[in-house]
Amino acid sequence: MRSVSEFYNDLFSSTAVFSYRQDERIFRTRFKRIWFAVFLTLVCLTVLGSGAGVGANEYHYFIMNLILINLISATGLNLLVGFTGLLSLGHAAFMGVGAYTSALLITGFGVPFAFSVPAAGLLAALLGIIVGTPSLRIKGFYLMVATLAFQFVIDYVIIHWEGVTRGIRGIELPTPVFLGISLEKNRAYFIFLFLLALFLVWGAKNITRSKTGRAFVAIRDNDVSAEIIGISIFRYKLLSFGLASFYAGVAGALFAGLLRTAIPGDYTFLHSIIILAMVLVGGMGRLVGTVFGVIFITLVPVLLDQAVSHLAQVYDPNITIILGPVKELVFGGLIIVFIIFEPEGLVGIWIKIRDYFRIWPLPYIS
Amino acid sequence: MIDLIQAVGSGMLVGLVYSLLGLCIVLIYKASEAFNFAIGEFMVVGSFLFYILFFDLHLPFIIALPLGLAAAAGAGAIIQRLAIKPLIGRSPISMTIVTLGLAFFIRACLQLIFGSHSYSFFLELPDISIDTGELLFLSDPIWAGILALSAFGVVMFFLFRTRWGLAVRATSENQAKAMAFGINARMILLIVWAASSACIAIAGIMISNFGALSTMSSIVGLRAIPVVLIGGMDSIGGALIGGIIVGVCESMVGTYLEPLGLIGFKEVAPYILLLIVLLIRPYGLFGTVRIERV
Repeated sequence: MRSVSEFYNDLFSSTAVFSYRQDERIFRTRFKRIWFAVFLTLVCLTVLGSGAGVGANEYHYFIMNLILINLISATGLNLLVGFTGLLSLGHAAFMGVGAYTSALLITGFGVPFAFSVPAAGLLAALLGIIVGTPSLRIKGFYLMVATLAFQFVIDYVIIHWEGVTRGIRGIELPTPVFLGISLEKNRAYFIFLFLLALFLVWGAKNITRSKTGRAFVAIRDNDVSAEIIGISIFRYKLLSFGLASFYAGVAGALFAGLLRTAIPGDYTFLHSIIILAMVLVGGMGRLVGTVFGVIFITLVPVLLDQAVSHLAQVYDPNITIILGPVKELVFGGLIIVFIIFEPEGLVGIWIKIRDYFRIWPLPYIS
Repeated sequence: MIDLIQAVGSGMLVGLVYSLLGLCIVLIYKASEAFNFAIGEFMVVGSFLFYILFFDLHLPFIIALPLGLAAAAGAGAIIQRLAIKPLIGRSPISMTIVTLGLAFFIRACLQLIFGSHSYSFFLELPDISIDTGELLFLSDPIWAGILALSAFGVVMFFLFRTRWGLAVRATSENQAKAMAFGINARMILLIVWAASSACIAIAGIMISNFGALSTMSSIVGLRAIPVVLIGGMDSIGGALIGGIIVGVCESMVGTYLEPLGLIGFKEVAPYILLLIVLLIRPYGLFGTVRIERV
């Protein structure tokens, strides 16, 4: 039995660590490393396969692009909400700032796409730091509503500052080009987004396992104790706001690039709540959770769309008018159900399943 | 000068309705430490319940109003029982997020049941409009102000002059201690949600009476959020003052700033005011100042 247990430990659950270095690794078990390799292989196969005309088509790539953009945005929000414990209801506003910055830079000044995206992120980060400044004095609900106020102000500015943002008509963008390669096809954009998302999530992971991330968690758990052990709360809160807004700004710029247009309707209060729901449903304070939450929350409306259009074809074409309310119903219901029954989010369910299989079929050897 | 009096007066009348909405948020916040973001949807639920009783079943106003309010209270109690009660003892933030989810859930249900078109809503209350030739206050806002103020008064009477109100205040002060004194805190929470749901229904009926009722009327709920924060989250008097401030601010902006080309600035002006107030007084004008450095 001893050898079997060692075998399992080695393969799946090397939980015993002997140094801080080991403790801080990104993939702490071989199990995780294998799954990640499998995941990367699958993505490569999908891309190669559709190059040969098998598997995913342009529509599927569009959905996957949406998922990746939401992932970038939600990862930023998770740094703020899940790790630092500051609730923000204005995340979509930062995406809007990013989208419009990028759109204006590209159409007005002829800046290449590759530079407009980080520029959008930086401007959003600057605004995020300004919005985060009141967090020195206010917290909890007051901060939540301050970010909500920011959301409404940005909404107003985007719609009514017609001279710059062209109001509700929006700004049309040319096809994004990166390093001379046209990203016109959703598949090309997907490869670009995938690498970028991988890089940004890796960055977020590195932040969370470094001194900065531990400072965030300390502030979340008890800000008074955090200050006593020498963490500059104000600096780290601002840093958290800045990071979250940077991610949102980048995501907004990428979203505008995906749709080739920046319109105010994409960055409203509803979208802030949707991104917040992605973080909550996935599991707060876990980056893996955000991945699950983003995939789940992005796919649910898509699947509902398909189900309703199928029903409309089979039974009654008028059924499509209930699509909007049903989406909101499912979305609101998901938030309620997850908060009440599974506060850990999808990642909590995933951990339960994983732990079951990690020691399967010998549940008493750990 | 006439413009100013007109703007301030009509702002105050609408502001009283906002005060009532603010009071409901404050009540719930004091009792269960959760911020009710679904207030707009509660409002529409109450208005539709009243609509069914008054316009569909043609009950007289005197009967329809109490019945509608009772039905709204029942709806509030059911929502509290199903969605809020399982969260007692968890962090207030999760309760708040559940109310965000409830907002979408309830709005979607209403849209599925009532559709998204507007229903005409006209109460035919006696005409008490004030018209001096220069000043004109319409009848509907005056009725709204009167009813909102009297509902405010009833709630205050309930809170400060009755035994149950005492229990509610004790529970908001300290839930554990209240339970030690034999108060059924869960019952109190249920009562608070039901009562605030009924008050929200009054505000909803009054606001629908200004124009029409539709599922999108719930947008008004978002106007109540600055009210509470300007006044202070845990202050009942603050809700009254905050509501009037927001109402006056809106109507002043509508009279003086919007003609300058800032279309729709009315909607965001309270939020900008809120940001300014929060920067100067982080706990609102009348909120309890917690001594702590963040």
